[in-house]
Amino acid sequence: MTQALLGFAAIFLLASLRVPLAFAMGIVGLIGMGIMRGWHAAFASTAQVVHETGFAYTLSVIPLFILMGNFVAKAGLAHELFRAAYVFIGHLRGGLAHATIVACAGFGAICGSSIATAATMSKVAYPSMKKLGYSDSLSTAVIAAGGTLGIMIPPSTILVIYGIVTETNIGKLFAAGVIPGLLTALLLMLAVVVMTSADPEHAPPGDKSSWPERWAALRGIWGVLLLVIVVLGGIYGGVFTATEGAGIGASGAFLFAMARRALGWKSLLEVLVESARTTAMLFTLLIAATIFANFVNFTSMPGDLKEWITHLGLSPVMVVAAMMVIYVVLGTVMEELTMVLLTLPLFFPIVTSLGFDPVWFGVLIVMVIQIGLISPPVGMNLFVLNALLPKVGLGRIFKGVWPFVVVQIVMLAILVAFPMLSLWLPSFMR
Amino acid sequence: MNRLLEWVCGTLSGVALFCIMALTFFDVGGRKLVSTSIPGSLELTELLMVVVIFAALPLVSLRGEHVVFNSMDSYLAPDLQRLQRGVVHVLSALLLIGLAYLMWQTAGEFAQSGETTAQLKFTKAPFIYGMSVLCALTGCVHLGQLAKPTVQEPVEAAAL
Repeated sequence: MTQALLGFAAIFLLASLRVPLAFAMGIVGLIGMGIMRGWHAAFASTAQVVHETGFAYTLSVIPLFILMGNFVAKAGLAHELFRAAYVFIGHLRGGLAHATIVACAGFGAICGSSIATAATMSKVAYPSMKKLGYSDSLSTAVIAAGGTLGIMIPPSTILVIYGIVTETNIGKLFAAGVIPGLLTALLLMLAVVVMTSADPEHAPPGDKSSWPERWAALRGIWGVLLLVIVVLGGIYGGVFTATEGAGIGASGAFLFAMARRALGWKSLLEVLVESARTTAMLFTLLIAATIFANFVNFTSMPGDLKEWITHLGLSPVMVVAAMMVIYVVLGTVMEELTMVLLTLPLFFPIVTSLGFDPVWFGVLIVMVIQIGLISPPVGMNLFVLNALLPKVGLGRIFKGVWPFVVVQIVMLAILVAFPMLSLWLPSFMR
Repeated sequence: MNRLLEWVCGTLSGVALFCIMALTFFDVGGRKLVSTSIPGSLELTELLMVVVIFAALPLVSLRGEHVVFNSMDSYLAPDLQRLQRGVVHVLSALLLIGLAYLMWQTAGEFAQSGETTAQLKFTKAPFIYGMSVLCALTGCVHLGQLAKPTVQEPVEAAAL
């Protein structure tokens, strides 16, 4: 137990000195393993982890889904999604905010990144909301919160990473994210209704569209629907593995971008290199997290923690609820991916030993990440919006986002209380 | 120098990623539609993955895209921040050059045993030597950052 605690302390010390987290985890894992098992074994296992992670076919799912999201963003499909949502619900009070959430959910179905969803939507939805007189705090907060749907509604980069780290079926994880993602979207819209009832002049309704306009807008999103049906339908129906689906999705998104003349040679290379860089950054973290997890698993900490929790006599659901509280608090100050990679070696064995389904826990993990991404003071989506819309100011973004943080915490509680919301769809998969 | 590095590593990793995408598309399409797969496509993907990850690694370091905690920055004086980042770059370089040495030794072992991929019989050692060289290059990128007078802000990659 002491060795692992020292390891965690060393990581936090190095990280607070601004050592990249991957390097901090790698150094601590290697040294910890060296002290416990001998240096020869530590070097051998490190080399093995690097070699095996580099040569893993199944891990190609990560760059392919990242590439799909980047091609989709480049293809400009977000404009059509927003337009389609707007013509149906834009005339309601707060209609543009509702349309933003629906468009984010739609974009989330073809892009697995929360940050990419928020960044793309900020370019599409913010100018429209600004033009109609929406308050800056509501417009930016709704984009930041809607953006988080990108990681719950499949495909999802974080669900892929969770699936790889915990060896959980990625197809089942994707199926599990659908209902929680849609319910979260509904709750976010409910929050908009409440907020706009209290302050109606800051969210005026848009013009009502005619049915021909609505059909025309729906025809504009056929590309998105086709991608969703082929990729997610293929994975869900057992036609493809997640890796194959990712390859088909990336290729489909590439063809769309080409057909819409959104890609030249230069921008194609830019998208490819950007995706490769994100992949390299993620793999550095994955390799380091594996080295660190190997060390933690050699200490007595996982066993001691299990014993301590049994000794406490808490009900299993209370244990998971306590973990969620820890995650929500940590998520306000920590980078979420790191938080999850650092804690999974400790929490995951406890959750499975309590008899819970790893697929359900994966959904809970995504939910706490969603909350962390929009929780001040350290919320990545808020920073991204601040960077893209510097005139708004971080203070106003923070002010507007709180109702959405509360709504997502309520959603987390619902998901903890009703596991079937996550596990019903995967139960149909072979 | 940085532009050359961006061009070489960027092209290498970008083209490799495009090849993985095309390979998966044609392999899956072939298998599902005409019951013919590309021989050794799985192995080719594995080898290309090595190129994608390790060729892009120097670019991640060059652009400061590794995940870092920067919450403490506002409490540190600019001079102290520069010193801190110098120490971090030296530490990162040492780790990466150490890892390069480790992978070079591993590659030597693979070269000696002559291990190949199962189907296409490609020798694995050159790819592991490549991992080693690119790790060392990434270490050099960190050492090169020491000469930079300005404090580099991290750019968030869209991983989450």
